[in-house]
Amino acid sequence: MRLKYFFSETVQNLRRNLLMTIAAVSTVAISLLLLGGVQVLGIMVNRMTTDWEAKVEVNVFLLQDATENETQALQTEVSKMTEVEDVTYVSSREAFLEFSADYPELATGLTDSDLPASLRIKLADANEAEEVADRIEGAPGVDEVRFGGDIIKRLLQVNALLRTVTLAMSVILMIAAAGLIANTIRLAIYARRDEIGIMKLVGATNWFIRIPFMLEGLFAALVGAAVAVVVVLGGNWLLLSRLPEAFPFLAPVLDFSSGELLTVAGLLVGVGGLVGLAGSSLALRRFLEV
Amino acid sequence: MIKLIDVVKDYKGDIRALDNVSLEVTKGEFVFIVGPSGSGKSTFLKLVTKEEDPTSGDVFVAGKNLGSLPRWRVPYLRRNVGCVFQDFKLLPNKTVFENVAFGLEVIGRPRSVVQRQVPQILELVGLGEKLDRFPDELSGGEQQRVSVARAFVNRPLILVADEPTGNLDPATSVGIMRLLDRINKTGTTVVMATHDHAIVDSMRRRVLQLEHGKVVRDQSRGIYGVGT
Repeated sequence: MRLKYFFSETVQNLRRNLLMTIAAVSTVAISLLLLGGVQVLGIMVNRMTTDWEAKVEVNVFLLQDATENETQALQTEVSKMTEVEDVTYVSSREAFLEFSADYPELATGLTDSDLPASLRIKLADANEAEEVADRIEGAPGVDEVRFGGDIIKRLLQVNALLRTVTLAMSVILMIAAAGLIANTIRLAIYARRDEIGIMKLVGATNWFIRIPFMLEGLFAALVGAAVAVVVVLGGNWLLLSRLPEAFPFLAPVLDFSSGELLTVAGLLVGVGGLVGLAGSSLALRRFLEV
Repeated sequence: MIKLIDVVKDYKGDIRALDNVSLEVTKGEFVFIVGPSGSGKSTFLKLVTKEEDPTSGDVFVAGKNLGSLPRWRVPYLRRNVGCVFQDFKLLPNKTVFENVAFGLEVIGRPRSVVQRQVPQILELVGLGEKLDRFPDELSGGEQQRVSVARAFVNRPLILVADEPTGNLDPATSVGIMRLLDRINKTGTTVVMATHDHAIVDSMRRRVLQLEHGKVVRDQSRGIYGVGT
């Protein structure tokens, strides 16, 4: 019986206060849409920076007269470092073949032995490049260590900044969305404070008063979140997923997995629902004190 | 049924609404609280419903000390105290039936009880034919009857009425008083704050007169009083 009361009360109130319901739903939808947009942007930034960082490697050029033993020892030692993901030995000949494939006109006149052999090190975290390079520097058989130096450092700074900015934006937007939704609910409740006053006077418990309002808030928030999710996913499907056809280089940045999209959708619904519930119960608190 | 012991109530800004009031209302009594505006009548009623807490002193309602009543018990206190107001406080978007039913639904009464009791009580207050009207389709007297029905549908031990006839003409007021009298005869204690001389004088019930927050007269079978 109680469930029936709560349900019919909720439906009735949503219908009778249609304008307020529409206002709440669209507020939630717009706030969450912004949040969703930033989330998608965040995924893009993350993709881009991860992609860049994966390309960061440390090149250890070996001396021409480095012995087999020295090379072996170095490779073993480097591969033991925790920061290092993978080490490949590139012989002089392999280096020459690669070089002449990349720059055929420059390779004329060079022989196999003109290019030094090297170790190519892939890192677990691009931020460790300088440290790893420093440690290898001066080891027996090593001629020179290169890791891209300043450019890498600059890139890493930019990446960190981009990540911080998108994170900050989503936090700010989340707070703004929460505030907007809570405020809309408060207006809806304010319009019905007489009703709440009477409920209190005839002896309704606070939870009895609260539940229909919270269900209304939850309902409005979830519908709004659903609208936002549809727009985000639709936008991705119509626009973003088609861009790589025209601009293939965007593919690694824009080709979202369904897991990533589900995460965004889940976040929007979760934030929407939570804020709807919390917003309505917070907004009610003032009116329940009598 | 209601007992006040040395009750003082101050509002913000050093306004003393009740000044050392001690009194007792026994079960089944009908009591008028009279006195000019600002004498503390409404404050007294609000202490009974625990809308306000006394600054000092104790308030007992139905044997319970309201000062030590935890917040979550307050709704259960109010189910034993029906309230009627000068401005009716009906919900304009609900019908007569729904307004009265609301009083039962929000305290979790099952549907079958609501369906049975609401028409009964509306018959009692003389509105058996107007269940589906909205408040703005009723006269002031009829609206007040709905409000009395809502306060009484739950069979409270106490009915408090704050100027229930304040917005009504004398003839209509008499009808409301008859209704309150009938409710009182069922054993419900009725406490009514009023300005209305004619009503108090014709009913000849106990009169408590307040002035500047003090009880200046407590008279059984009293009249509104001289000089006021």
